[in-house]
Amino acid sequence: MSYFREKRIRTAAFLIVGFLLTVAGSQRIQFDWILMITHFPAAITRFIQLYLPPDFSELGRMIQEMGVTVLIALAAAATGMILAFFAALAISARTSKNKTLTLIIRMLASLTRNIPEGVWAIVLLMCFWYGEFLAYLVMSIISFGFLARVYADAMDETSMDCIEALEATGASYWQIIFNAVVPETLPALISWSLYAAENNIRSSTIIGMLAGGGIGYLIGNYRHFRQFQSLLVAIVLVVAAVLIFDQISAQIRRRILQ
Amino acid sequence: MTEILSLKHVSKVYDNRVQALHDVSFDVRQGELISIIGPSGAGKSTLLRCINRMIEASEGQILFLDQDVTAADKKQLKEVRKNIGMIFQNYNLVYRLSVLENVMHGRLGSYSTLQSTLGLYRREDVEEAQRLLQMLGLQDRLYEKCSKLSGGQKQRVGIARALLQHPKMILCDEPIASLDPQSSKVIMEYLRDIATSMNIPCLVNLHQVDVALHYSDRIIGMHQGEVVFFGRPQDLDDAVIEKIYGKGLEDLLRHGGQA
Amino acid sequence: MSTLASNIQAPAVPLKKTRSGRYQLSQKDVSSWLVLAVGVTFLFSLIFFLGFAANYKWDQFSPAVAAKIATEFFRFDKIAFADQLSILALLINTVILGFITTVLGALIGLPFGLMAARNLSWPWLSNLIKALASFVRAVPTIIWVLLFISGYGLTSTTAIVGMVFHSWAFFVKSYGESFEEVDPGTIEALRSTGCTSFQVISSAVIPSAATRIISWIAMRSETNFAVAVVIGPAVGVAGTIGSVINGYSRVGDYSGLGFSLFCVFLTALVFELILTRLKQRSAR
Repeated sequence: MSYFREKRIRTAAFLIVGFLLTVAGSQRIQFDWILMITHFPAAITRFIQLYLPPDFSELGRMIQEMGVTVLIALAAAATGMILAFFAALAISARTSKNKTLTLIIRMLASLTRNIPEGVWAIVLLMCFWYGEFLAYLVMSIISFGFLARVYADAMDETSMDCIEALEATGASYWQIIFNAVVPETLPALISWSLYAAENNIRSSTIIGMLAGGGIGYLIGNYRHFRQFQSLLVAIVLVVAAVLIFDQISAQIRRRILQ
Repeated sequence: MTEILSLKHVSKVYDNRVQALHDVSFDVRQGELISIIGPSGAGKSTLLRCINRMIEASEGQILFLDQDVTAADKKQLKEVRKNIGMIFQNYNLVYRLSVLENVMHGRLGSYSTLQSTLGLYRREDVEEAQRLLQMLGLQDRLYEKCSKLSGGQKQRVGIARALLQHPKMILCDEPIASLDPQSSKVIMEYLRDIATSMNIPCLVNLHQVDVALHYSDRIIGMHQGEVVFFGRPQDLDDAVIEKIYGKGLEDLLRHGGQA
Repeated sequence: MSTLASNIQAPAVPLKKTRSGRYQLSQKDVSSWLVLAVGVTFLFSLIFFLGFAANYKWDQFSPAVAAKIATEFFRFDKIAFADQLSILALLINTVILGFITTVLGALIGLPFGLMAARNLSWPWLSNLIKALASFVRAVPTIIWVLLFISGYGLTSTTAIVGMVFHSWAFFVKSYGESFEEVDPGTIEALRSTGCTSFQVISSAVIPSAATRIISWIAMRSETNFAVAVVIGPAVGVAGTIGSVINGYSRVGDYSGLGFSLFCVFLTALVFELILTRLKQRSAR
């Protein structure tokens, strides 16, 4: 029984340490547990007072900006897709030719992926100024970081014995890429790109608030001028767009990857 | 009979100092089917891949059509590879593409990247691919995705791809190791026929001694990277088998011919 | 007669031709049509956006600032030691913010995850919880925080409440999926020996899903850290590394900005490495 006992002790110790860390952490950042629970009904009441009833007067403009957001999200996903494809060729063990290049691209992808989109927006804002183009740049960067990783994984996971066969027929490197690697991984690439586009729509709110462009810019504005009743409509619009896009891309993905 | 290929004192040592091949010499003549037999890890696969330089040999000379493969530059190597067809144990097809597209890959060496990517192959090449598939009994499967084929059919696509190269020789790496006995027989008949009536020599790695005995003109027996036997099937007696596998033919056949 | 030659007498099936008279090499199925359609949509959006919609005026681009970013970003020596320490302290605050959110989300999510698992719950309840969770997930995290500001004010409590909503929904979905993958035989066996539902869950369901649960938690920690970073500048919650990044960018202190960014990057990288390790371990 000693094994189970040891395991139980380990679990208990893990939980206690976690609990202590949480308590000490909330102490440090002044997170108030009691307030969180006791104040919750009041917070809901306040929300209802401020945000309801929804104000639809600017719906037309919102829909237009939502369209812009979707366009930016798709364009950025496409940019990320193209760049990430070549990056993944350099990263994946089966297709990389040059060790230094692999290392550089790996670091680049890791850098773009591990800095949050909002921070990219702040930094690029300093030299690019507000607007749709900046939103597009930020989304392209995060799409690239995300896609480079999942593409490389997809290339590593797919059976790539065909590379050896084409090499033996005397095909060149790019012939092997376009006649074997691309056909074999394209469905996976496309379905991940759809995922990246969906992610872009989700993060369009935060990017729009910080960098301008699309529905996020409107949301930031409504908040700034305390037009909460319009803000609610804009939020519902974003949620609807995310849900619809999620449904469509799930259907497409299921049929592509059959 | 002219010699297509001859290996002279070829050795291969891997980075971790494993001696995979040691002083291998033999030659392949027009229209022959030569089997390479030996236990797993004897260096059969390495030997085959050294010939078209998928693996670089450490020492020795490989003469293919009187040209030294080991000294070939990039352009010459491409020509060598175009002239040598290769067939694999796992078929190594692009499974999401159609049968016809996979066979056309055999001609990649004579097209530019742009042409091959857009599928702009010459009419006569496509017609030839069709004829080859017809010869191999796949004429009604031209547009099927390769993932939907059976093992034997996949290997036939592999053979068609190799034949479309107009090869001067075909290397076969365990072509029937993943197949059932019935498909194995069909594939071996085809290889035999390619060697005899199309006059293209085949160098075949085999697991099964009985298959090698039945189909080969000559047999190479390998043991731990060395050639311990090179001669006609009828000279392969029990003593030699014992030298290759460490056990007798009776033993091997009792276990279904598998070593 | 040889086999190959005899086969050639079998009736030939004619090659199909495309409209341009070339031989057709493949037949398009649903999958390849969809791939083509989605790819074209992507490319069309890109061309349309860059060509017509973006309208970017390149005189807005300031090469001087870009050059400054490039040269002064990594001059960590230009920042006072005290500033470096305070940046690190804010980094720790940010990590804590993400940590508490993850803990709360993972704990509150557990009972709902059990209810969402089809094999442990009633179908109507499972569907209800799943629908609720997917709705909550569709609302971006930052919006949840925004919605609670009016109630709680601009404090870390607001940030946590808002972030917990989204984490909760994430955990409900991922727990539910993990629990549904638990071998039904194990559950059946315990039920037949007369175990209570609680015993079944604590001794069979959770332990067999444990490795996956841990990697979900690691995954969410990574996300929550990123959210905690941007919550400062986007919403205005003070006391995180995000707010100091925003501050530096406003006053144009490139070295401070570079140092804070570097801290964020390294922390995120550590999260990613842990996650990769966990994934490799659970794959084995």
